[in-house]
Amino acid sequence: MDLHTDYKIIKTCTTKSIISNTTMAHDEGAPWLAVAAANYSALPTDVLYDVLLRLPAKELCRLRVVCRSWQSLTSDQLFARAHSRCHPPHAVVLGFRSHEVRVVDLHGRVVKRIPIGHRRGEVLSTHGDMLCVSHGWGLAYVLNLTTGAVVADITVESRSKVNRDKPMCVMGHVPSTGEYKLLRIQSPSRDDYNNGMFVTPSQTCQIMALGSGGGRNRPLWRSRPRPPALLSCESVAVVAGVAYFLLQAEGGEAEPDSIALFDMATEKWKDTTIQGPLSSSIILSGEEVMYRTLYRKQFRLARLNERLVTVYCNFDESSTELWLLEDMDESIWIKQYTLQGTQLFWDEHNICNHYPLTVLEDGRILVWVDRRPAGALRAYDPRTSTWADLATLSGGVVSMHHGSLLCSN
Amino acid sequence: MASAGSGDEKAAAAAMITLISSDNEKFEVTEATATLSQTIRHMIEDGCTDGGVPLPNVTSKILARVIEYCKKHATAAAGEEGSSSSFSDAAFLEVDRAFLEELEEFDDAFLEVDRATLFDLILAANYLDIKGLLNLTCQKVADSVKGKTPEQIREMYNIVNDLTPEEEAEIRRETQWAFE
Repeated sequence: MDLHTDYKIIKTCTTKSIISNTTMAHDEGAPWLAVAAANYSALPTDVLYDVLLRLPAKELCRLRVVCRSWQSLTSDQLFARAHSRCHPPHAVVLGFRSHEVRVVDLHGRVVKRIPIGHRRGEVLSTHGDMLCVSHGWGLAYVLNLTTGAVVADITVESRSKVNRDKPMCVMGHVPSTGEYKLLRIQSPSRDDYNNGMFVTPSQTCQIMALGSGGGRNRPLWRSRPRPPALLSCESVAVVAGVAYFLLQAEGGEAEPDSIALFDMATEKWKDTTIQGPLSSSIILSGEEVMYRTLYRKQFRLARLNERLVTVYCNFDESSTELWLLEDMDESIWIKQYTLQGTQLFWDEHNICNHYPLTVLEDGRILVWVDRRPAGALRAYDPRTSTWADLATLSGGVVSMHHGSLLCSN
Repeated sequence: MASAGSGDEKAAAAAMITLISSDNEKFEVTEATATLSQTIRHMIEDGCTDGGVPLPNVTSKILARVIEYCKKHATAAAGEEGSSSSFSDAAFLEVDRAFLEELEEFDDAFLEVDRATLFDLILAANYLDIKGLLNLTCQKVADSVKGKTPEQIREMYNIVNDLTPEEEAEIRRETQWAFE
């Protein structure tokens, strides 16, 4: 088939098919339309678009060198967005002592490897394309998954002051401005306890926007007010530009699922905390009156398809409950899913954490089950209450990547 | 309504549409077959199919194939709608599966064409707005691209590489992970 066949007919077809609007929502003003048409192939641009959308990201990146029109088409933001909608999401894995971050498909096959310069590392937070990685006390940077580049070094200035506890960095995306922001919560270091004299522990809070200040090397941290209550450093989720933190529950002042929240757009704490879905209290179970005690360890926050979810390990029922926040002001929660038959312990002491990652298009819930030596990527079908094992992975799944890996947002 | 309706339905099922190819060949098809094309469906709704539907972008050779596809898939669609309570669930599923398998075999055989014909079928499916056929043929092209080197693709599709060596090197550098 010759590319230079009757261009006139091809052109007519292209115009008509755009008007008849086939399968994609097109932006007719997209710059690649003109570019792609210039190298007129035997297929109209929108058909070429449809064909290329079906190929996996790796294949498309490899084929960018075919010609200019393929390069510009596959690098286009609109194309990348359409592409990510057509393909299942990827999981992001940080291997144990492996010098790399891996992007894998739902069967555990490696799609992309991103070399990192250290063996031990921990992902502190992740959002969209951005991954915030720590590789030692106070040492941390932000990695862009699509480009593989370090976009910001966020190492704490004076490392001697850093608490030996895990540093807490929270990455979020502010929808209204399109900015990525990082929030850092600093718990008091041991020195602050002043030779045994009791000082009320309090946490400090700082924020920075990626791309602000000295670019890659020294972004500017700005101080923000202290949190309204002591935050637990174990679980946080960012949804639509709001960071939700579980509170520390020791001392009985707060329920173990109470939540404080920080608005990343206005950079302010909300004055009041919100109530979690459950509470330690007298509950009625049929005729019986029972007292229920809940523990902080049973709770975890997660972002599930752009909604805030409280994950509750129900030890009595061997199930994991996912409670969706329905109304923030009224603290109304809905128990959306109960994952039956979850193995909640991987030995007699350790809770086997179930991290819900995303709800797949077919309605199944993708879950990362964290256990040693290798964790599992599993899917729970709520219609049949059954589990399917998708992949066993050494290392930890840290998040889902819903982008296309074609170009960075 | 029910008794009168069955007569109307028969009339509708028997309604024929004439399609006219670019080389002026006429094809008589049932409305059920023709309306797999959204373009023709709209023309029927607008009542402008009297005297035949001219399709100046589609040759008789390609139109014959497109009609073959539509006939098969229109039967499949009718079968799905028609077969309801007459079977038990298990029997129904069995029939359903056999039907789908047959349809898949038909589709596979249908795609056994040379590249020029495949492209013509895509253009026709695009112009006539037949979603199933467009999906099928686009997927076939996508599958043929998979695993090929950029050079092979340029050769297959007669594409001139209009990138400078510097630009090509730059793209390769940026997307190095994809070549590993």
